[in-house]
Amino acid sequence: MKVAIDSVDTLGFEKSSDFSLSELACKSIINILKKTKIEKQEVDGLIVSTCSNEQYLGNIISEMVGLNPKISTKLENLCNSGTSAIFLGYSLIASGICNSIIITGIEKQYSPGNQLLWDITRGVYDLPVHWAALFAKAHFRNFNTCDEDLALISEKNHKNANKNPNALFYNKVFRFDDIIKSKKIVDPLKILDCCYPCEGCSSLLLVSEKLAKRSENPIWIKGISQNNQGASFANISFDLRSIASTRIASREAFKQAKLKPSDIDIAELHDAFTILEVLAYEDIGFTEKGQGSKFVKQERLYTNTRGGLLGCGHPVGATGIDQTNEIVLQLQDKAPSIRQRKNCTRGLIHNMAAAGTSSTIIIVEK
Amino acid sequence: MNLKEKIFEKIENGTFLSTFCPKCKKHMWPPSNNCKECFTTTGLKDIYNEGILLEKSYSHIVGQQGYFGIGDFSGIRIIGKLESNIEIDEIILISKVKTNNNNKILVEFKKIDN
Ligand SMILES: [Zn+2]
Repeated sequence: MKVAIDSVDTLGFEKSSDFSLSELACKSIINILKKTKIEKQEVDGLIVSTCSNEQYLGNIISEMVGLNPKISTKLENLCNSGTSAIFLGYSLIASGICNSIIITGIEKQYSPGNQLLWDITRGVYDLPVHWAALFAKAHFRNFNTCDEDLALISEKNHKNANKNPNALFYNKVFRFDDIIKSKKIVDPLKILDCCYPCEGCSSLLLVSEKLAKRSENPIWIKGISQNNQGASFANISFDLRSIASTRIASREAFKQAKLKPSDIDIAELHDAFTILEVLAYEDIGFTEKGQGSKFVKQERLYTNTRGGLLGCGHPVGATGIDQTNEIVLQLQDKAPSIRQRKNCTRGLIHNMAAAGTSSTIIIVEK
Repeated sequence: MNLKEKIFEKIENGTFLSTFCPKCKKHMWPPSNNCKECFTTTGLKDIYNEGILLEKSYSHIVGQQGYFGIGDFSGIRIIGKLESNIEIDEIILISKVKTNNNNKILVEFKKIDN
């Protein structure tokens, strides 16, 4: 059974507000219900993506907006939460259990999702920037990638964020020199190679093929896959030149979609750290292994047009949904005109968690 | 006492242990009560303290300044502090191990003396 994305909504990402998680979610869900032609009573699923420890958020939010769905639940998969929620929603509709599911992602800046405490293989180096730096060092050593290559990615994504009023860094201009000279965190990564945890909320509405007949501009999920390699850095560190979960999820998603990387016009790639965008180009198959730093200069693909995690900020539970929302808006020709790209038919969303132990790939088409 | 607590207690007494499957003859790290290959109940065994440096970097983060890297010790991989700027693929030894107040394992690696 086919599944489409009917409508999307994003609240502005910011450092913090006085709103609670459920209040943020309600605002965004109401926006979705105002945008869609699907009636509130027809919504038979609500999946809340968050790393918050707050209890029973699915049912609390259902009650606050007056939903009585078949399934109302909270889902956590660290940075990959939002795309995992879409995966679950897709599966429930594709199997015929549900017809219409709202996926909403919410996070506060100081989320338990910003750090994985369980992984003792990281020793005392438990901040994510340490594993990211080890990936970067391996890429530099094996493929001659350099600081300037990473700075180009940060510059591109921050420039894109300057065209996205919902982005945390919408009003902040970072030039190439600012990035290269920014504060060193863990070599070779500097502060402007790293995303910033923030508050945010993004939602979307998934519908069945039957309900999609009432959608103005349905965007179809053609392929969706996830791969999980465990949770510890030890599990994936035997080869730091690549992220295996991304490679496996990509291969499966392209197979489902009967497409290849060159068929994709626009992609949202997980850039919590600049090096991860380089690895994503290679592991998804947009370019050969080791050529990621050259690929960014070739401009063969629109990437991270909303500003990526680097420019938008990273509200952990909302990120995967906001990445998807951007691709939907671009394919619907509904992105703000300043950042609307022309002639996009097919898009890809890549999201991942915890040193690449988990990755999701979604391929969509208009 | 759970497995992690047992391992932490041993570290405080100066011994660095991991779980070990007697059937597969393999260490498990992070520790687990059962072998993930054959499900046999594991025991605790000393981590072989001679390994190889897989990758390294330098942290500028306050409190963590200095070289650090990931080492492989007979299949167990852990990130630790480097005593000096050791080269990748060099043989290293676990020279120090202790736990800190944040419930983390602080490991130090040094270059093997020839
Ligand atoms: Zn075994």
